[in-house]
Amino acid sequence: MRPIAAACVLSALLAAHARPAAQSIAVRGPYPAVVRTGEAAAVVVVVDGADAPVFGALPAVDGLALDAEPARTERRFTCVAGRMVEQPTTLWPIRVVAQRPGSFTVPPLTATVAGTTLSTPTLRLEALAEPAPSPDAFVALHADRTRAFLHEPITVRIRFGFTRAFAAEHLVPMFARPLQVQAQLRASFCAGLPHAVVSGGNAAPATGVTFALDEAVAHATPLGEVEHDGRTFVAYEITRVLLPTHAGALEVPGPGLRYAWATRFTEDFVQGRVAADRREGCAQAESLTLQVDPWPLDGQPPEFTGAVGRFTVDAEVEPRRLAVGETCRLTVKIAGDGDLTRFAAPALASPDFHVLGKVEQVDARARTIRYDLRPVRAGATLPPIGFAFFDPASPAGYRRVESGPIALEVVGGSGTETVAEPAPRRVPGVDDVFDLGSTSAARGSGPARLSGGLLAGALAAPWVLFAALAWFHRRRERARLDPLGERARRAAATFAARVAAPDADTGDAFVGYLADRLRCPPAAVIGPDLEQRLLAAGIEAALAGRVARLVERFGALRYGGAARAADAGEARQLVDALEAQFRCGGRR
Amino acid sequence: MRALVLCVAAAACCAGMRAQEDPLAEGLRLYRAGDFARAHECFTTALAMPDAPHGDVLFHLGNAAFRLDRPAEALWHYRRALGHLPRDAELRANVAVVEARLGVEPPPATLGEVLLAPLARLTAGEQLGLATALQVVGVLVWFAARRRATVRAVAAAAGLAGLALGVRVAVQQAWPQPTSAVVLQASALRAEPDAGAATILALRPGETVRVAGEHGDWIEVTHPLATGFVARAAVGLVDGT
Repeated sequence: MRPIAAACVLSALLAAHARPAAQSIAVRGPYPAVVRTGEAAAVVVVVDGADAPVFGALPAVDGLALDAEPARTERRFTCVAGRMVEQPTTLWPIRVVAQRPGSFTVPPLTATVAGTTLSTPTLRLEALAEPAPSPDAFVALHADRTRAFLHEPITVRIRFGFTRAFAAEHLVPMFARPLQVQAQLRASFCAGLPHAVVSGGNAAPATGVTFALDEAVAHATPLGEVEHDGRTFVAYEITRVLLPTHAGALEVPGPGLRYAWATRFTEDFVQGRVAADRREGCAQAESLTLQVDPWPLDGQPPEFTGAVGRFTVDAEVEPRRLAVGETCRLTVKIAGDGDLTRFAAPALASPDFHVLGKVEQVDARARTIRYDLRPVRAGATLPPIGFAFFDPASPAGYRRVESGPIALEVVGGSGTETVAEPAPRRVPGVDDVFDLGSTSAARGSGPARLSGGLLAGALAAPWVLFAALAWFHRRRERARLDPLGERARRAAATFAARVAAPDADTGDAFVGYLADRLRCPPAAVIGPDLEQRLLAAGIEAALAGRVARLVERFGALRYGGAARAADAGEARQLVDALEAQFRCGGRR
Repeated sequence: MRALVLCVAAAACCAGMRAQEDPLAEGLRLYRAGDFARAHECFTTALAMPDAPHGDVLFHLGNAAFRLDRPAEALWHYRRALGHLPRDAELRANVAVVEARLGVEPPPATLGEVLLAPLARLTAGEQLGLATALQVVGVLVWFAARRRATVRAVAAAAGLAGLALGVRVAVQQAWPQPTSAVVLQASALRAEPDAGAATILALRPGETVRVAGEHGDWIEVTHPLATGFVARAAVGLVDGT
């Protein structure tokens, strides 16, 4: 499946970078293009631009097994000419397995989209012959158990070997680097497994014979002659310890063995014995499936921190006699056959002691925790140190062990006297938290939720502003598009400003007011039809008559008539009256 | 003798009233005195008060839980406090210390979280202020730059981004939804919301998982290695505010 997934990802990436087409078909693969017999290659047919293409039947090719997986459609957005366009892409993965060696041609694969049949080009696949497993070599994978609990170590052994005659007469070096065993073991799980930690194991040999483990030189333990499937082999063994970190099925892929051998040799003056018909051989071990169970939740003690195995705990304190305020060192040693790194150290919760710090050390058989303690009162005693772990041995269950009594005598004071809080030796932020001793009590946070009023105000304010600006903008636009109307609306204010000016000409100002209101030039105001025009603008007859007469008087004044002081006041009164009528019903 | 008893009773009564009036101050006093258990109770009471400074209370609650040797619970409170004090360096340091002690790591950030990381350093109020400012600036620029289409487009984008942020904050405040959860006790991630369902993964105390949904007494969570269901009682929920 891995090649298929890789091909799908590759296809998706290529499709994502491709220019969008209306409807197109493309094929990715086969990947890899050259396989060994029995291996699978991945082919992915990609149809762009169609929602539900109908794929044609898979062609039959002698020597190939084609197996189609369900097609899936992905949607992606593409920018075309500055617009975002959603385009469907349908991927149709096909698995091609070579059943025999040879060179194969796969006919075009087809898809029908809206009545149109699209075809891929022909595909080519090369299949090589798999070297037949030799009866003179073997590799096997064993585990000391097939079912384990989380964090329970599982020892896995890989054994491999050759018959003595084969090793002596036919085995030839695979690599230029000299090895004591001319073989390469392919065991990828030794580098790590997804849900387990792989380590070298307690019995990992520091010495032994050298061989190739994947791409590195490793050491294997010689086992001498062992029986396997009724034959005798000179065998070697490597050991790895798996520590499952997740519950569920844990699959350990079977290792493979590669070697080179020959039947005919020539003697070379420089290189000595040289293979004349060198060829490669292989052997393959079966995979192992291990079942990893989680720890039971029932009966789990509160002090359990993940230790799995069988442990003992021992504690001692030094010095055994001290005064209040002095420090002592408590050494707790947890030993056992489980993993010593995947649990937390026991917590010391005695109110009679301040824990100033702790140092931990782990070796192959024990984990040692050294606590620096300071008693706070005379007569303080240390309770035995308890440690809970899960014992996977039958019957599996949680166990709790305790150290023996810890002999300690704290002297000084009356027995109830406490010492002042010692200066903290822990460093906040490194091995301790920041709290009141290292920071201010108030950190300036607010209530849990923002008030509804604040939320509503914050959300509404921009829209109120938007509405206000829109109204203002609309008003300005209206004024810009209707200058006469704007003049009419501002006529009274203009009149007031003009009569308030020094040396004001009330007559001109009054005529200007009427011109603004009647939306005509000032020169057009004075005329015999002024009264009718005012009546047409909605002004009462009496008021219109008064206005006409006053305009006449102002005209006479301009041509030498006698001025009346009361005319200016009357003009103001008439403007007020006219404004009232213009606003009520007149033209605005 | 009677007077002495009355005095003691009055003092106890006053202390009780004081604790009722300001449980946060009382909790701080008890914390300073080393009575972490009672301080924890007072902080829990303070947390139920709507006007209490929740970030501060959660910070102190986490400290009390840490001192009571309940690091997973402490981590839960710290993570909740981060929503109120997102730029508090000491709070972040406390999270790191507790995670180191528990031997857990925070879940890897998603693409969305990476993109919204700057926002995550702002409180809800600050995000709301930013949203309002973006909208106001967008509106003003929109009206000011009437003849410049590019500037108006940028202003519209800023305004819409502010609107989206404001709506997001409002929705989170009005209907807070848990976004993550801290595992408080060793528990099993199961394939179905049922105690008898198959175990997918053993969850360690202190691990932080993303919440995908709620199903009665079960929470659907996403762990970096698997997705499944965990009992609601075994985790502490952290909402997205």
